[in-house]
Amino acid sequence: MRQLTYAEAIREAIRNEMRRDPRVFILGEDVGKFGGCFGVTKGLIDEFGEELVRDTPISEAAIVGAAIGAAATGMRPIAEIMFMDFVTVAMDQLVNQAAKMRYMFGGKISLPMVVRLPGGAGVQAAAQHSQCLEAWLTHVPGIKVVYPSTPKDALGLLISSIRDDNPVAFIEHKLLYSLKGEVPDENEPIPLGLADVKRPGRDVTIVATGLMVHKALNAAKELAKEGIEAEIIDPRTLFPLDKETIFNSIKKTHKVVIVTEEVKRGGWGGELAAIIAEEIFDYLDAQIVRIGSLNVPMPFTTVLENYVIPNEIDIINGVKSIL
Amino acid sequence: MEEWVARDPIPRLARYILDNNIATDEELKEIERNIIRELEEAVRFAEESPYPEETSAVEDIYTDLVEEGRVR
Repeated sequence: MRQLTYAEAIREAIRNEMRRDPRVFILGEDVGKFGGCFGVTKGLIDEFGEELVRDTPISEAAIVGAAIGAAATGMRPIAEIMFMDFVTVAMDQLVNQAAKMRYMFGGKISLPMVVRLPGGAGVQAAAQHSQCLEAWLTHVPGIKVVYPSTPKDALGLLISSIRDDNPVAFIEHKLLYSLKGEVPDENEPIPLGLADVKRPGRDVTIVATGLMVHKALNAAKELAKEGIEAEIIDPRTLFPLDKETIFNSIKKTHKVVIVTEEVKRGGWGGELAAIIAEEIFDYLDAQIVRIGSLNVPMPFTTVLENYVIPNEIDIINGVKSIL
Repeated sequence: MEEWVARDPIPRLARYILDNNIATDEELKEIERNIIRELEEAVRFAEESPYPEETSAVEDIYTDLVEEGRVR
């Protein structure tokens, strides 16, 4: 096994898929010579040139719209939205066009495209550059939503996303870009819709996404010192959702804590809580606990960010509240 | 309104095509007749087709997934 950072893993997935399939290309703001706002696409322009690594004007609607057009006519675009927050400007293209086009054409067209969305807080980027907007995306039939938490998952899931024949929103957490982790020597796709047990345990199930997977792992270490063994499930794909892996864990532990960085109100975590309550209520021995960010815009300074974003203490308290 | 009617791009393009001898008046009329025929055929096809199966409402959203249907 070798080590890559999360950012390097994403770059490797893009590079290898571009080498493998000449229809794959990338577009976005400063993805070329500058290498992307977070350096993810660094060096790709040297290998593939300006035709396949396209710097675009500052218009997210144009970026996603161009990707849709390219996908509809046989290419496999990977669009980068510099900050996930800016997907708001491209929502008409993504929600009304990309997600609907196959349905409106009666299945006669497919849109193989990936929209990369760096999200998440913790870098003092404040309210307009820190959001986790996954619930807006999972709400829309016609889009798949992927959210890796490790370099290995980022690599394998991005390969699958690029090879997928549907629009895929690929959420990347900014704080994870520098995270190093083991990745397989051979690039292997990880199927979309397959959760991963990040830590086995018998006492409580913690379903966590993105950066929260790592906070949940830290919390689990602390809980283990008190003899509490938490099982941590990372869904990895928010839609399609691997309900089976989550349900199997809850059927064993009978308790579940859902940890997401998104604002708690109206979040994807609430949807998961509803699914669990609706489908496996009888297996629960306690109420479902949801932990998310406070229902506020993300503040700028670290002191306030730390107050708003869930941390290990919140997760430990959440677990203990139902034991 | 009159001013904008005069700027209608479709008649303007037709005028441009005729003025520059790109196509003849008869060729343009033939194009229009073909479009009308195509539209009439589409309307006839729609009117003569049966309504779709209800289950088709949950298909063709994704290439590889079918959404959950309703049991009644």
